[in-house]
Amino acid sequence: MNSPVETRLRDALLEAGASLDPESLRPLRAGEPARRWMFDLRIIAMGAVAVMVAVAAVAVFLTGGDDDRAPVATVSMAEREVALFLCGKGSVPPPCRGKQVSQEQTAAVAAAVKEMPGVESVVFEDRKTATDDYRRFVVTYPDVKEPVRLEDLPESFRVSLAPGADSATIAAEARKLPGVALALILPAGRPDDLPKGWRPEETVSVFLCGGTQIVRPCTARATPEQTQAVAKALKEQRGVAEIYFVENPMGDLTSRLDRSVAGFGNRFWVRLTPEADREAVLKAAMAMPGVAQALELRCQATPGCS
Amino acid sequence: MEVELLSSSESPSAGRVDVAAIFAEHHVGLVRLALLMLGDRAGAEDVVQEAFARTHAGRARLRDPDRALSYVRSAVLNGCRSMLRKRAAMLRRAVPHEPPVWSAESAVLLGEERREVLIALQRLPRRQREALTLRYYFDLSDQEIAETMGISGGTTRSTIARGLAALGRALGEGS
Repeated sequence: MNSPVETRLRDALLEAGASLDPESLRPLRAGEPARRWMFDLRIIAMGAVAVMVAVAAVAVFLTGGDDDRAPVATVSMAEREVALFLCGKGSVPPPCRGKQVSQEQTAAVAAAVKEMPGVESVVFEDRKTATDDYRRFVVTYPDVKEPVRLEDLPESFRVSLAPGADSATIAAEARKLPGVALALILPAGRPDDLPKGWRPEETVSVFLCGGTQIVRPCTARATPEQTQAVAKALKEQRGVAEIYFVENPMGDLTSRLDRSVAGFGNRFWVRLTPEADREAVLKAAMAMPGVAQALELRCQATPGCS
Repeated sequence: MEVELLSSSESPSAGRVDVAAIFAEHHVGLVRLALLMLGDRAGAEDVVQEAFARTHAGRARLRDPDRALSYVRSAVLNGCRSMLRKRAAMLRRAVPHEPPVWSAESAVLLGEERREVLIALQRLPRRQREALTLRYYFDLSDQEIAETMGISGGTTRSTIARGLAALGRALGEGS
């Protein structure tokens, strides 16, 4: 006779297994290696991560040291840029269906996006620029050893939005255009927007669970309590001078709309003093529930810093 | 469901295990096994396709029809382990993958109770997680689990017992 634990386990596995619709499975084919959907997404992600590392925050200033104060003040921030990654050579994410974007489709995407309300400009980023971004990313993260064929890196459009523009709708609509593999809502802010006195090389970013680009197996969006606990833990680290919190409500919202429309979750920016132990701060952040990723902002990824 | 088995010029010969037929028959089950191990469908389909391609390519070395399914399950399980290892490395590199089916962010809507159990299962050591999934989803015998995982029958039994106990503790129940 089954124990309660066995019954619960069996029921949970059955329900999770049943979530897969057999009719929608891709047929198996002899002699064909696994599709490159993950690989493609990884390549796209590398461009996205390079962007993520390069962005800075416009947020609320927080001072450390006074635990009685609310450790986190929030400000909702409108995104002002959407990246549209186009189907590349050999791409097989669902929107691409194995086809590379054509010149006509590329032109049509640009024309259609320019007409969308709230779009200020549309800039094409060719493969060479994507390659440069990727190489900078590799320099920044020397432990990246995955073989990447640079000719497979996707072209993209960087769509700048007017203040107040509905980035989620624009991203969702743009993703539907033929030839678009993924729409990524980029957080507002650039390195030159770092608060006065902040330098990229002394800044660490801590991304909280929420948003589709999250890589750690987050089980849920970070709760307010977890967020406060992360802020407290960060402030207790030796060498942490200040922290900023940036709220990005679109990150979670868009993840529920369409897997091909991605957004960033909430995050902290952490300014370190020279005596800080970077590794310890990153490890402490990663050990906290609700934290998806902790990254360093380094000079290689932010041109102009010394 | 369309399944391309063998190339048109090829047919399974006597004495050769028909790997393609095994995969065709068990395709859904194998993807579900990978889904429960990995959490995401895209990765699960990749693992099964890769296992199929590799096993099919090396099918001449498979001679024992009785153990073929076990071999195929092992190939999928090994593929899952390999992908999980890659992902562990990718966690340090900020590379995305689909939210696992047991996460609140997944498009798959599971009940809170189910999700709690699956999350607790994911937190168990790999061997316990695999053994419990093979037992309680696929109803495999101790011997079948042992063959699939490459461990002894005794180890299978003790692993399942320890896994259930740990799961019970995590869920606040006695096993």
